[in-house]
Amino acid sequence: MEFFSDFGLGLVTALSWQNLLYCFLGVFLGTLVGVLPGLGPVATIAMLLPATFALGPAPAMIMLAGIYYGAQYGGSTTAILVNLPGESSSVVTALDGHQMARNGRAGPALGIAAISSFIAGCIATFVIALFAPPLAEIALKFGPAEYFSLMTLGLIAAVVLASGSVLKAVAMVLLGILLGLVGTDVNSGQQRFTFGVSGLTDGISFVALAMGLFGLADVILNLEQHEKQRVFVRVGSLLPSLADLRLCTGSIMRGTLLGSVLGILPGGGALLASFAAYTFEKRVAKPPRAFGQGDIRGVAAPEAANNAGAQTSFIPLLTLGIPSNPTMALLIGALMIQGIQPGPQIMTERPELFWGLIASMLIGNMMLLVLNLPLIGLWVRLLSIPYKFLYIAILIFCAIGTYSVSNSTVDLWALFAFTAIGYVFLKLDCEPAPLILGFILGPMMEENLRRALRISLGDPSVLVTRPLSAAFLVLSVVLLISMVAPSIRGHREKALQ
Amino acid sequence: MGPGMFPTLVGSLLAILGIVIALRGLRREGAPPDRFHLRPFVLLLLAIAIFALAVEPLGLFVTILLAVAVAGFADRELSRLAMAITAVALAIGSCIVFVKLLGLQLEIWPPFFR
Repeated sequence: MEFFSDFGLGLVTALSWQNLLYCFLGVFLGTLVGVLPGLGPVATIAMLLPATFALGPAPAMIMLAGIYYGAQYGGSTTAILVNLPGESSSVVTALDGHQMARNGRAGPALGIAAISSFIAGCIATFVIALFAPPLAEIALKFGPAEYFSLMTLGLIAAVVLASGSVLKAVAMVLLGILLGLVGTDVNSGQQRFTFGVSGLTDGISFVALAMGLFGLADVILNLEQHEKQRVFVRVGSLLPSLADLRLCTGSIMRGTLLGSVLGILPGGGALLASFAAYTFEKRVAKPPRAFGQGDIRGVAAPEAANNAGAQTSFIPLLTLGIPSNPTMALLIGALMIQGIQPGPQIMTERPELFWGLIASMLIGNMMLLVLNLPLIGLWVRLLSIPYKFLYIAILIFCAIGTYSVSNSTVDLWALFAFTAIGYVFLKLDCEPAPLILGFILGPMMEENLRRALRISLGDPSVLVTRPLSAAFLVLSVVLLISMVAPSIRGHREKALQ
Repeated sequence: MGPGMFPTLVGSLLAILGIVIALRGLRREGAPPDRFHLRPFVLLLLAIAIFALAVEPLGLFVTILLAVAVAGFADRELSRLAMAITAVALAIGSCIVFVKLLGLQLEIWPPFFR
């Protein structure tokens, strides 16, 4: 079968000494930043981006991907032991996980988190391997009109999935698109919104934007809240009992399934998946024991979901060249540094890269299981670093990372501006995630819209006369209208709480 | 289909949305926005500004010392000694990891030292 020969090629690539080493480095770093609260995979990948230039495309992607899914493992450790989300996607793990720890069951909580992450990671790897090739085949038939409509749908979906006011989220998307348009227009060579600043001709640095809005604005917010005293609990035996495992099997499977589906959606990925899985589990789990008071299924389901979601969010990246979250946008950057245009052609032109990356996820998940079960003591000790030292390090790392992408101080001033703006956004309950997606997709949307209009000789009806494009647009409109409908809005608010 | 088409389209949409949000805000009684804490806000921004101004003329090592000296005051609990140790440790660590190991194109020392 073709699938096995393809996957075999991937295994051969992933099992080379160099790639094994970078895979290990990636998952190790990922666990590290996952454990440390306040330092996430976005900032880490951004810092390492310039350094990946010297590596080949395969080791670079394998390492950066490892950081992303590795962070999902690490985040749960912090959530369970000290009730702080080490990673934003482990917020819900803290609910039942920390309660379990207080009941003296920290060990089984950590154990089930690692085990369910591992199972979900392995299944999600096969989901990618099975679904990505046919999707890429379909994507090859997409014209510019389809791409434009698909991205519109993606942005609307991101708005629906964002928490808080819909109007604000739409406004954030539009603002992001406009920010993304700053720089030289690719078609005419005209300068747009640069105000004569030469450092802006290539556009606003994505890394500065992401680090400012996501990293440093959060740091300021953390500094104003007085640090809670971290209470440490004894870990004890890590292995959950057989009864626990039997109880969790269903939760893990449901979490994996939900996470795999939500990971593919634009704006989705690990964060949304874990929230949805927890809400879902609360409703369907039988017997309905006390969720929120240390139910082991409340750890298993979201941990499975966030790891599955983290991995399937590679599907839109690898098949369409469209990033579904900020981390994926950085990985597009990593591919471009290597001179590879992300899109459906990767699979046919660079099969060793595509399949190597997928196979490395399987290997990476095994490494993570080892890193997180026997070596848990090491990560626990890391948690004793107080935030007052950590934030200074985060600040310096963000500054170095931003500067080194293109050795430009203009980028540092952009970091300055976006940190300030990001803090104001947080205070006004404006979510930065839709803005970032708009920033990334904006230029691609413009390019595809203009291309579509050029082909149709300026007739905008091409967007609705091509069936696939029309379907995407109709779906967008339906989504948008449903958001305004009060009954669904109430539902969404409840789910995203 | 010139360079201005798409920005005009998106910009107009944003302007309309902005008006709608503003009008709704005027009509409704809402909770007052969260209080701004100026100390960490100003000091962190100041540290970024110092980094931006100093990194090219002074090199990474001195820049980190300066930036930490400012940012350290954002947290009241950090003692002077702890701040100094953090600054030196971060400066040495960053120079080794980022410049020597990862090979980023950064100068470590100011020009008159090189």
